[in-house]
Amino acid sequence: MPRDEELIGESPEDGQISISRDVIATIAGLAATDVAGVAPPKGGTMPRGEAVRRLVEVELAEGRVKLALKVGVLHGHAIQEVAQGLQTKVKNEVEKMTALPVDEVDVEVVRVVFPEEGRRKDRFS
Amino acid sequence: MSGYVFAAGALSLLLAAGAMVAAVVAIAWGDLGLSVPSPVVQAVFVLWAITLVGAAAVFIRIALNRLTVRRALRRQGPKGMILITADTVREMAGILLREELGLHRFRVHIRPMGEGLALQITLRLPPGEEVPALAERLQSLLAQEVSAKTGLEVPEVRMVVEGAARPSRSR
Repeated sequence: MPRDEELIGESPEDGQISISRDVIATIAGLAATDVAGVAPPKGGTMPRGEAVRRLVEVELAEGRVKLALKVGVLHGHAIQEVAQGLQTKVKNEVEKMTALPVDEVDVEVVRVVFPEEGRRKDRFS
Repeated sequence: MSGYVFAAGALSLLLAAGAMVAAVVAIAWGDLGLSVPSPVVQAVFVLWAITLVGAAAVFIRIALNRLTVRRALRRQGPKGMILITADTVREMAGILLREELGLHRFRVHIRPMGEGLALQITLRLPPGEEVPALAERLQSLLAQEVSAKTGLEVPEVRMVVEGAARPSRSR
C-alpha cells in the first residue's frame, strides 16, 4: 500500500523523522530541471519552484523509493544520454537529500522540443 | 496508455455487436416476445453488427500495434526504465527529413522488429529527386541518427513513394 510519507529516522529521545512524497517529488523535479537537454513534457516553459513536482510520480514502499518522470528533450540532444543523465542526477540527489534508497528512476520521453518553442509561447502568453 | 484505451474501445464494440446479434436471434426465435422484424430490418441489424465487429477488429489491430511498439521502445537499465514514446521517434524522424533532406510531405510509420524498430517513410517524391539516391540518403540518415540519438536499433528503414510532388510555380 503506497503511503504519503515515509519514516526515515526514529530515536526514543528525539522522536521521529518522516519525509513526505511531495518533498521527494520536489527534490527529484528540481534535479531534473538541472539536466541539460531536458524540456517540459507538454510545451511551454519548464516549471519552477514547487511546480516541478508535477514532472515526477513517487512510489514509497517500506523505506524504498521508485520514481517516474515524464519529460521532453530539446532538439539536438541525444535522447538516450539525456535520459541516462536524468536517472543518475535524480537518483543521486534524492538519495543525498533524503537518505532513502532509490530503486528505480523510470524516464518517459514524450516529445522532442525546439528551443524556440518555449520562447515563442512565452512571448505570446 | 492509448493502447489500453483502444483495447477498451474494441471490447465495448465487440460487446455491442454480440448483444445485437443475440437480440436479433432471440427476436427471430420469438424468445423476447416481440414480433419478428421483416427480413429487411433483420438484414440491417446484421449489417450493423458486421460493421461493429469490423470496427472492433480495427481497434484491436491499432491497440496491439501501439502496445508492441511501446514495448519495443522500452529499455530497462541499471537505474530504471527508459521509454521513448513512438511520437518522439516520429517527431525526431520528421525533423531530420525536413531539415536534412528538405522533405515536406511524408508520413512516418513505426513497427517493432527484433530488438529494435523498423521505420517506414511514405512520401511524395520532390521535383528533381531520383528515387535510388533519395532512398540511400534517407535510409542511412534515419538509421544512423535515430539509432545514435535514441540508443534503439534501427535494422530497417523502408521508403515508399506514393506519388510525385508537383513543382511549385514561381512567378
